[in-house]
Amino acid sequence: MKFIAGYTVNKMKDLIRVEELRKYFSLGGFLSKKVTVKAVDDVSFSISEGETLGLVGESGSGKTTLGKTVLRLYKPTAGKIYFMNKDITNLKENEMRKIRRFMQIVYQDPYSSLNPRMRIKEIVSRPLIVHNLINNKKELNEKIISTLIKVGLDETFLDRFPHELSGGQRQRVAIARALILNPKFIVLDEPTSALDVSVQAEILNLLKDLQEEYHFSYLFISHDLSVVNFMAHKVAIMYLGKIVEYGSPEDIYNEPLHPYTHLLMQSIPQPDPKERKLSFIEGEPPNPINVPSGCRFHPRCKYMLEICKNKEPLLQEIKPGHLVACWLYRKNEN
Amino acid sequence: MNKEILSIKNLKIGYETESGLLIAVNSVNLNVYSGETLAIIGESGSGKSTLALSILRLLPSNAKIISGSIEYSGVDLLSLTDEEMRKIRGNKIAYIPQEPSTALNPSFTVYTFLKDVVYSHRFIEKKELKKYLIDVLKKVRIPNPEKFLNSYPFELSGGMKQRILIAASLLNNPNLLIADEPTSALDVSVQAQILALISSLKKEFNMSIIFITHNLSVAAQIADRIAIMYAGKVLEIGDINEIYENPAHPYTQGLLSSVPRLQRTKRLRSIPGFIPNLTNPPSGCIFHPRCPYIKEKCKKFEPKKYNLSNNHEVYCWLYGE
Amino acid sequence: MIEGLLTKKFGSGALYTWRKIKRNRNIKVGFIFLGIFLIISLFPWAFSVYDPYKGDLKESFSPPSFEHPFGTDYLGRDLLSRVLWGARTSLIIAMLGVLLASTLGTLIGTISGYYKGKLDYIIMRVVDVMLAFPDFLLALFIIAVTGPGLWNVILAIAFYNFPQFVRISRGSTLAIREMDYVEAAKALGEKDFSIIFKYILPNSLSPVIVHFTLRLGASILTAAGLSFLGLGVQPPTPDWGLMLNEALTYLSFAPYMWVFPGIFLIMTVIGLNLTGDGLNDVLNPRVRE
Repeated sequence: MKFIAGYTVNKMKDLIRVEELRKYFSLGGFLSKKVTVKAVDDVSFSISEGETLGLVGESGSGKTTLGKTVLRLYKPTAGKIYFMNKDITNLKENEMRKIRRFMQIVYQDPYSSLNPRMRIKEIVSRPLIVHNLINNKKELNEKIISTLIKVGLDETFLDRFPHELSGGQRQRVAIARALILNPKFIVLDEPTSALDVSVQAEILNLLKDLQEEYHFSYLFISHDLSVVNFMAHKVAIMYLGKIVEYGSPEDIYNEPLHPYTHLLMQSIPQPDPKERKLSFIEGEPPNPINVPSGCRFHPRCKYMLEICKNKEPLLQEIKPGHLVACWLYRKNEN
Repeated sequence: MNKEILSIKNLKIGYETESGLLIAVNSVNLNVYSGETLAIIGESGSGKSTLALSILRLLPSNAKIISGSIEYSGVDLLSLTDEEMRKIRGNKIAYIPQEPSTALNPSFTVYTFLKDVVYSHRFIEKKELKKYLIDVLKKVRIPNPEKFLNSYPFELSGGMKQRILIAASLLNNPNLLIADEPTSALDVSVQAQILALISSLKKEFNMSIIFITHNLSVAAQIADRIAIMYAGKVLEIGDINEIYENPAHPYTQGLLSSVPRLQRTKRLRSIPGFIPNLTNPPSGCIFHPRCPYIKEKCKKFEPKKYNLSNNHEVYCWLYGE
Repeated sequence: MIEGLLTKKFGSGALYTWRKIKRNRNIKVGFIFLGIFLIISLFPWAFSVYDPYKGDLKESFSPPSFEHPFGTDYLGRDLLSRVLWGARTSLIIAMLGVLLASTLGTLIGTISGYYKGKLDYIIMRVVDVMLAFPDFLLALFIIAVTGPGLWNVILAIAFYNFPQFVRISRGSTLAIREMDYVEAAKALGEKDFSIIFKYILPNSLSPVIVHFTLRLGASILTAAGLSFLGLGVQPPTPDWGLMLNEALTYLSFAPYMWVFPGIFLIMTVIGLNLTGDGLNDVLNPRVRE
């Protein structure tokens, strides 16, 4: 039986629903061997209005590809994407354009996500102009200034260029750009990883406040489980293109089920010298070109069983709302 | 108290820029003792990297050492000639950089690279050398070291490359290792491995380590003492347990409460404001424009050092007159 | 005051670049030569009263003197004014030629790099073929087809410079199209046209501008070469290459007929090259200093 994470939630209330999504990339061509990278391989989830799904994974997990595919910045190889109950999987680009105003993205690197040749006022006004939402210059100006204020900036930033701003300020501009269209859904791809710790706190607080006020749904992508636990209502752990565990932050923190989740929890340092965990964990995040057979995590798994080498485990709901894809667990067993 | 291995006194370093002289390190006093790991923690603009590079005298051409001294085993490194300094770099004082990908020459195999590191300082017979290199590679937990020697950097993952750089730093048995954010570019599981590795190697090679980082959690894993830097100044320095449990400086307090923990919290405390313009730093205490406990005195006078215990110092007017 | 204007229009980054430009030695020296060239080509009448087309046969072959500082040529035309007006000819040819090449080349290169695929493949193969020929040969090809003359020289210059600009702008575009801010623009719903003109072009122009300045010098030389062979600018238009050609016959006893055009040609090309080199140093990212 297939389980679609979050399926138990009311289908109608889903703002965005992804079913068995796959995104494969082909590398190589004429002269070199053709290789397929299965960046996202059969992922399903849904997010309701006003909710944040945290997506956690290391390099090669496919989390960024997933975020961009959901926004149709890549064309899905297979599967379906439903947004506001509309099937957007195969929409043509000019149809997709009309939907784009409701879904936005904020990138990790504040230094490369803003056009260096555009002033802040232009960067923030482009979304409105592209979607023809503005009637006159005065209205435009007011909307820009009010949005900048919402993200903690002010009108002195209007005429500046991105290179004149600090990392935190640029990230605020990126958020303003995403906000100004009043979207319903925002993909946040490691929005604070490149920022200083104190600035990160401000931006995270800001994102949370905005969500409370405007009921945005977020897909919050990060490698940092601590940050995700702070931001998200639901957490999905990704490994080599698949979701291996799914649950609330409390579930993940109090009762991590999947061995990979264990590994992550063990590796993540906390700001407490009394809690040192310097043990030698073996293995490295694998290359998505060479995907292991069966359960993808089996080469690194302490608890590996024979079946793990041959058969891929599917996501099973072990407790209400807490799912894991691992042969160690069977439904209705512990 | 352990012996001092490095003593930085009143170090002031500036960069010449279009808009004036930017003071990156502002009269810093710091000691590193033998056998300890000192973590220098700071955000961007704190001066921590400049400080680290200055010990190795690897600063860019527009940097000026305005005043101060860096004493290593009784000798002021700033007064040495280039050749004398070269003999120390990679030999007695080793360095691990932040970005493993750009630190390795893509045209050289691991073997060539490590061989050069050794030969820059001493001579070993080729056979002996190969044995020695394999030995060191085993110490940094590289599987299949023989085969590994013939690999090129592009064949290696980030974690592997960083291990090579660590191995390179150990080749000549250094006394002092300067690690400049060695895990910032790595995945979290690899980071854990590298931190564990560095910790165990420190004991084995009997080194002192200066560990530069912006990450309070990483520092917590590995440091004995920490120094908190802000805008070129050291604000607080001392035993790690004491500081994390009882952070004295308002900036340290702000930093610690802005880190998200695994256990879900309601809100993160942040530090309002921005770092000051380093070409024209504020008068008095450099942190005063952002400090929630500011007094009149803070705006005019630079705070003196206060000893809160025999291993905990803070530079803040809250702790004395 | 220039600094104020720059900052206002282009931000503090432009100010920083301007200051770097001011400090660059190549540009400073190059600009001295260039400056001379520009002044005489824009205001040739300020320095000489003689009409470069009118000759007084009585005065022909006079060596440099007070009335004719550079002497006169075989038709009695004042050489100083011919050199001055020759500068103007070179300026027109080089500017228009390279401008045409860069505009068309950048447009096609950018579109090719943005869309990639089959179109890109075909364009690049055509460009490759063009680049396989020596510059001068390509220019000759055009002249062979169109015949000599001022406008045909401009066309020839444009023709042989064109593939280089396609290549350079395509390279720039390939790099920029991968940047986050371009993807963000797509996520916004920006149309391709806007993306190319608002996001990619403004950021890809640096190498194009540098190449433009570097090609000016080479183009003047090529034009002079064509005229020297009689295939370029036709008499009686004053042109340095042409003047060199005319001086050939009288090489030994009227050296002043080729010395002055030669010197000015060299100076101008050096000036343009130095300036281009300096600009390259300033505008192109360098390895950490």
